[in-house]
Formats: sequence, C-alpha cells, structure tokens
Amino acid sequence: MSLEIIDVEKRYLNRASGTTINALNGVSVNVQVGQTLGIVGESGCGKSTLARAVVGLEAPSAGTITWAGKPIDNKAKDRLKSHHSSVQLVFQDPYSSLNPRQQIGDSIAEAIQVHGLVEKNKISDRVVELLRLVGLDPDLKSRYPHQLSGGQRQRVCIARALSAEPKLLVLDEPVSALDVSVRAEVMNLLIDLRKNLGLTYIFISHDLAMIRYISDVIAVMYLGKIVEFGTWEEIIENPVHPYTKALIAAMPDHSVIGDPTMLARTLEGEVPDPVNLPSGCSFHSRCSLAVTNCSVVAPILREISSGHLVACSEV
Amino acid sequence: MTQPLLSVTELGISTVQDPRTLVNRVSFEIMAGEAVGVVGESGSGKTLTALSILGLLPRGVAVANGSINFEGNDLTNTSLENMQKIRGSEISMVYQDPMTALNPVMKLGRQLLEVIEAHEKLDASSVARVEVALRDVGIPQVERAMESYPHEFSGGMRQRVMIAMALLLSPKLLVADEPTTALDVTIQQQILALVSEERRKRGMSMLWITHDLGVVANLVDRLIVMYAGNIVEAGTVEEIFNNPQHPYTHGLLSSLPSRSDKSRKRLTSIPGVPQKPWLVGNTCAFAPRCFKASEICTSASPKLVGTLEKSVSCFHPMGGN
Repeated sequence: MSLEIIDVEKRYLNRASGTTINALNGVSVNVQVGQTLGIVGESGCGKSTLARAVVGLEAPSAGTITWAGKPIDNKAKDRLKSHHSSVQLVFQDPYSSLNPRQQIGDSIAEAIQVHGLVEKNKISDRVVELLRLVGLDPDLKSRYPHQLSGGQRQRVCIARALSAEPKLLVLDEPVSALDVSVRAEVMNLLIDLRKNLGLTYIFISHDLAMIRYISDVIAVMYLGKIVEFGTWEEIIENPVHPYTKALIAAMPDHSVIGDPTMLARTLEGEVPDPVNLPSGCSFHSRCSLAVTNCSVVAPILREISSGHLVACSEV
Repeated sequence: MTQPLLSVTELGISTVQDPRTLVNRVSFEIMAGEAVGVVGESGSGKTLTALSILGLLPRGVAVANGSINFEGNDLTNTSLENMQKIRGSEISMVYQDPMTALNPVMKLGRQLLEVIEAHEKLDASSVARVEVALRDVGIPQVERAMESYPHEFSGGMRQRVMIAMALLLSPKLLVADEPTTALDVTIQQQILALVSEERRKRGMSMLWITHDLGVVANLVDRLIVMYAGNIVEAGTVEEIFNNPQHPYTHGLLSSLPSRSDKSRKRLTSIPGVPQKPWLVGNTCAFAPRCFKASEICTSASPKLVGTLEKSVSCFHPMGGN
C-alpha cells in the first residue's frame, strides 16, 4: 500500500485578471507505508497545494494521485469520504481550525460521528481515549479552544484527525505557529504516534531543521516542482541542487555563533511569479551555476545515485 | 568604559485599568555601536519593552515604573514634542509586518520624503537622499520604485523599503521587532546580511527582537532572554549559547533540533506553558516548569545579578564550565 503522486499539475485561474497561477507543475513522488516524506520549500512553491490535493481538497488540473491503488476522486462524495477515513490533514494554525464556540470534547466527538467508526453510546469513551492518546488530560474536554494553549490546541487537532483512524496523516506546518518551547513536545508526540499507530506522514514545512528531524525521505520543492529528492541524510549531508544548498545555508543555525560571514552566504533575488513561469529551469534566474541552456531546457528529475534524484543539468 | 547609549532601569509596564504587570523590573544597557538581541516567546514582554523605548505602547498599556535613559533624556518622562524629535531621527524602528507599517495608498517616494519632512525642511537634495537610501538597501530601478505603491512589491522588498526608511536619517539606534519572521528563509538571510552590513558601516546601535535563537546567533553582540515579563538571563552571544545559566535558556537551546545531530535523538522539551506575567508575583516566573525548582523559587523572586558579559536571574543556575 502506498501513495502515488504522478505528474500532478494544479493551475488556478484568476478570474479578475484572467491570468493563470501555476501552483504545481508536474510533481511525481511515492510515499511507502510507514515512511515519512518531508516536503520543504518556500512560500509559493506549491507544498500546501500538494497537501490539499493528497487529501482531496483540491482536484489536480492534470496527473493522478492514488492511495492504496485507488485514485482520489473529488467528484464522488462517497469515495471522498472513504478516502478521508484513511487520509487526514492537520493544519498550521490550530486556532482557526477549531470552532471557537464548541467544547473540544464535542469537537472531537463530531469528527468521530462523521466517520461512523464508533457506536453512538461509545463516542464519549472514544473522546477520552483520543485525548489520552495525544497527551491531554481528559478533563479538558469541556474547555473551549481559547482556554487552551497553542500546543494543547494543536494536540486537539491531531486528536480530531486521528478519530478517523487514518493510515496517512498530512501535516501542513504543524509546529510553525507554536512557541519554540512547546514545538519539541508536539514533535515528540508526532514521533510517538507514528511508532505506536504505524502511521505514514507527509510532513510539510519551510523549516528544514524540523523536516530534517522527522523525515525518512525529503523532497525539496521550488515553483511547483520537486528539484531534489532523497533520504534525509543524503539531502542534508550531501545536497546537490544549488537551491537545496542555498536553503541549507540559509537555515538559521545556532551551532555557529558570532560569525557575521554566516549571513553573507545568501541566495540572490526572489522567487519568480508563478503566473509567468521562467522558461527552462525555473531556478535559473537565481542560480550561480546557470548556463545559457538552463533558460531553454527544463531539466528532468534524474537519479544520480541510488534513491537520490535531482533536477539540474549542471551537477 | 564608554557611556551607554541607552540604559533601561527597572522598567515596569502594566495595563492602566485593573493594573496587571506585563513587564517587570527590566534593566539593560546598549552601548554605542553595539547590537543587542532580545529573545523570548509570545507574551514574554519583548515587544512591549521595544515599543516603550519609542513611546509607542498601545492604548491601555503604560510604563508603570523605571526609566529609559537615552543620551541624558528620560524617555518615559519627556514631552510628546521631544519624543517626536527623537523618533525616526535618533531612534527608529522596523516592524514585523511591512505591509501594515506602510501606507497602502501613498507612493513609496512620498512616504520616505515624509520621514525627512517630519524633522527638517525638504529641499532640492531630499529626493536624491531618498534615492540613495533605497539604492543602499538593494531596491532595483529606484526612480520607478519611488512612484510605486507598497502592494507592487514582494514582502522582502517591502521590508527593504522599511529598512531604508528607518535608516534615512542615520539614527543612532535601530529597534527591530521580528522584521524577518514573515519572510522566507533565503529572503530572511538577505535581510539579515543587509542589516548587519549597514550597521557596521554606520556604527549604529541595534536592538533586535526575535523568538528565533538561530536568527540572532550571528547578528548581535549580546543577548537578553525574556520570560513572562522578566529578564531571566543576559550576556554575550558566546556565553548564552555555549554556557547558558538559566534553566529556561538551557531548556530552550536543547529543545532545538541541531543540524549536526546525526542520531536524531528525542528532543528535550520544557513541560508546561509560560505563566502570565501578572500572576508571577513574588516568585520565579519559571519555577512551575523548572526541573531545578525548590522552595525558595516559589517564595521569592530572583534578581538579575552579574556583569554585562554574563548575568542570570536564578536561585539555582546551571553552573558548569
């Protein structure tokens, strides 16, 4: 059983201006059961669009996504519901993804009910069980979201996602909105749950330090494409694509201190507009290795060593 | 020893009605040409401390006690007129979100000229000064940029404009409140490099507020760590990172995944959540989450003791080294 993403494209039409935003431009990647795929990239690289496509919240403009051999079909409501019972999404901001006027116990009970996995009279037991599972005191079930801390709220969102008994959890920046001192706790919880429940994760973040910490394999995205893919050790220790290298260099790091030259190792320019994609390699406008051909021919993702793929013609 | 440019003494900030302490007995100094970082989580009081320097505390919040001395002026007790003279020319500020800090319906050139106009008469050289300021921060096609509106720029470019605006009148002190938090990492790196270079070139002092220890590691000379409205530790960057004395600083540093950790061992976490500053009272604010806490920690409040290089507010510092 695995998740297969094949040549997925997603374009949004801006009706006001009549322009097309190219959010995903041919993404292919497989996730094996029990594995954690980390997706890293800057804003606008398409990582969240990909997450939404995987859970069926967005229909790809082209390409297919299959889970356990079955394509995700946004048109058929029944099919989508059964998809949601095995694939769930956790969002970045736990505050805006919880109903502020609903006690968190009811919020979790509602999610259980939707999936119909538990008999009515057992729902409240299941709520307690789920709260315990995510490390919350069951007494908190009568609290409202505003009465909880950010870390507790994210645990509630994780509990809601788990109520469907999913096999695959898509985590879209799950710790980015949390205070630094509580991030570690939530990361540890995610790692425990993965082990105890045998979950598969897609972990999306702009924070390479967190991606590095939790992922088995990492995909680096730039302007709607995967530019490099490999095991976490390969990507972090032996990055090949000039963009991956720049991203790692720009990662705020506290292991080197008091050295202003650390700040100078920076990438020039900004991410081009996804409305007007650059010709050839989308990174060529910012790349130090770029040659004339880079603005003509788009490089394909090719294997440079076992399991390590890179989309660059100059490496 | 040189005179400090700014010295904050026993600063307390609280709500005006139903007084609740938000910042408690904060004291620190910034020397001429020195860059100081303030690190803390949300609610630690770091932004309020920064805002109080410029007299920009939000409505309903005020300085309750203490003083802020800037070149002989007590900024907590000065006229509005005097404060306006200092703001923008002697001390200027860069905010987290450049989109809300810029006027969306005014051309950028005009917005920058306003900064000059607030302090001196505009003359033939004013436009040229604005152009130079924009060019210095790496804005391309400056003449065109002057005629543009903020929404025509990316987040990174807007933040460059904010920095140009803040540096326009060559202030002695730049206060920066998380100006790179909303930016992507590669753009953040560009802004950090730009600010670091400009600061050195001008010999300007800086107070940099952040929640991200990684950001300030190579940017500032000294660090102040705030927790629940109090300074828990302060010292040189080397001391704070290599030899943290407060259990909170220690916990914070060890909760960060390190780039060199190959084994990916379990992250050390700090249990619990930060306390509300007004509930701290006569205790150590960190005591409820501290693995070293003893009886004294909940019956007395520790004082920040030590030197400029290293000071800590803790009954049971980590020791070692």
